[in-house]
Amino acid sequence: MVQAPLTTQHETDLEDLLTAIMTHFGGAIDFWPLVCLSRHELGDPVPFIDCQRISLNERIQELRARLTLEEQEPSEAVLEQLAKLSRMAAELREVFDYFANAHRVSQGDLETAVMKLRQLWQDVCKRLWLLGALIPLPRPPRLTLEREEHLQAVLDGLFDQFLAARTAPPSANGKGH
Amino acid sequence: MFTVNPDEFRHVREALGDDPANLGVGLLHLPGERLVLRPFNDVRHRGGHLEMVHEYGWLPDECLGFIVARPARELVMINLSQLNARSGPLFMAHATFRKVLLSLRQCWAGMAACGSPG
Repeated sequence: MVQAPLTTQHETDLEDLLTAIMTHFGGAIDFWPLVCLSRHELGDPVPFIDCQRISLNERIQELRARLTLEEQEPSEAVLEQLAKLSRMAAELREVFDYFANAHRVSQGDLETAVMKLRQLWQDVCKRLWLLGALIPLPRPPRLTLEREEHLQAVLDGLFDQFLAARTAPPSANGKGH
Repeated sequence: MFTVNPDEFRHVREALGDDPANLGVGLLHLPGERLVLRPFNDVRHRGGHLEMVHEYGWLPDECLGFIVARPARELVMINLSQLNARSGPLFMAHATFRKVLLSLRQCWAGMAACGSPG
């Protein structure tokens, strides 16, 4: 079946959405672990993590819905990548189960969870780039160099941060109002 | 003191009161001596501190971060962000964080004096 070309506006919307999913997943590296590390102050991190995972999955479903707009039935290859992206969002639950319980899981499990998060991040980026090429879009989704470097640095330091939190006393935080 | 927008402060306080699963993202832009606050779910793509830095057109090196929570009636500021970690630990220097807290308290006192304690 020959598909009609995407309008420029539709292309821009899809590019923005692919970048939004990448950014959202980046939040799982930059911010979600902090919520697990603040367990002492914030309590159970699971409600926050679950809420964010659901929101991430909704964004992936939104992408699927957008791809079917204007009678553009997504190809099998695109549908396969979307399904894999959804699975990755679901796999975050397993990773964050370890992070949420970092105070009592083994160091080995913690290290494996950090490695899994790194692998998921690499896979998500690849799948989003691939989706951009399959749709096809003129430009691949990507973050700025500073943001990419920042997320890599976070991933590099995450295991040590969790390890340090197991032995450190509660931080001196401030009550507001 | 750092500059704080009372509307942002009020908005975060209300949003966290409405949704206990939500948190707030706090940023300190050092060159501008400015504090910005946003409910996490209002950050456009939920990308946390890093996305907020990008949204304001700042550089990660220029900013420090913290988390805002409302586990009960009061807001609590958690001195924790990956932005702070570039120089070592996840928390910003105690003196800087104390100045952040004082600025927020002053903002709150100003709001209360104007009759809008949120």
